[in-house]
Amino acid sequence: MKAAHMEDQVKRALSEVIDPETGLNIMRMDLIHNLRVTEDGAVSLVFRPSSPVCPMAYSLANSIKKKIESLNDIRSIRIAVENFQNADHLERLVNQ
Amino acid sequence: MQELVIISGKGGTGKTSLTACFAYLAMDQVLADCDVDAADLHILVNPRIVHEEEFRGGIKARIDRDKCIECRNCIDACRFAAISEDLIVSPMSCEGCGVCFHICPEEAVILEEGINGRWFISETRFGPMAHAELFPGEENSGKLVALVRNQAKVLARKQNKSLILVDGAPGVGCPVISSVTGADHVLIVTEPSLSGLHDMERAVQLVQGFRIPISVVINKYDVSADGSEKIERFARMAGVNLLGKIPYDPGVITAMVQRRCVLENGAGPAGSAIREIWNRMEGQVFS
Repeated sequence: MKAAHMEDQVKRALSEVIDPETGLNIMRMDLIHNLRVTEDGAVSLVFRPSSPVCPMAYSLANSIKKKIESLNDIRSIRIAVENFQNADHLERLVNQ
Repeated sequence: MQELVIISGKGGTGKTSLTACFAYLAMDQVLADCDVDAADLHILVNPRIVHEEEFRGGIKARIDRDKCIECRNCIDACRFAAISEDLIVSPMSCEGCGVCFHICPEEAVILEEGINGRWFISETRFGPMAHAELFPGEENSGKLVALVRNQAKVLARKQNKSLILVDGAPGVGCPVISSVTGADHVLIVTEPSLSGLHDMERAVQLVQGFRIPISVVINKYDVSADGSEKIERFARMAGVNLLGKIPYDPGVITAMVQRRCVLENGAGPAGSAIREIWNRMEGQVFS
């Protein structure tokens, strides 16, 4: 499968992750940056919660990972976290 | 990107007027009107709406009369007196707590998502603006504020703007908390009155709880020298930066009536003070 097609699939899947506070999906909220998908199914992205103290950051990061994992042909996922006070902790948890 | 939130504690101290003046001076910002319960920045900046959407932030109860056996348990249990004797739920009174839904023995109560307001992306003569209106009696203003702030950030990133100017709500409740969390700096506008001082103290306590740097501006400082002195003393004791004082100026009222910010009407005592405050803001806060 071509990388561009897989990237579209990932974007569509992430558009189904809704932030419960705003009711918008996380792509519209611009919380996902630098999304990269390689031909062999390695996904990497930067997750930027809407606030450094976002109470939903852990839950959203988990939803992002699970949503991508649910797609076919995904081999690995690497999520970097920025603009969040516990970014290192969340990054460790979500990439375990 | 910096996010400056302007709040007041007491309402009517001049938040929106000052926000519009800062927008006039900065000219590289996105505006966000987060006073969604009583939005009024749009009156000054005359926005052209380019996008609008419904805001669904809460649920309301409805009773299915075909299933209802008129046991009236829901009327007794409702803490908001939202259900009438003839078993009609008043949407204005229903808080969406769901007690009626859970106690109904016949599952006759339905919880439905309602439309609580609208939000907008607009163009103004001072740049793009995210804003919203919560419908009368509706709840969840904090959620709508979070949405407006988020969309302002999205706009700022897309248009490569360096500043987000947020016109916050008065008080210290949910919409204010939602306005300030995670902001880079909070400016509290107060006035030399007893309620101005009291409500500023509460706003300072709130923002200090979030460990966000604070500055204070005293509007109409010369209407009460004693009141201004008390505010200055409190600011010193609380370790809050007093950024400046604005004198009473009838020119502000004239500008408001014309739906302009006072700086657009040329030089005047209030305008000069606001320019100095903005210069200090750029020097002390944004540097």
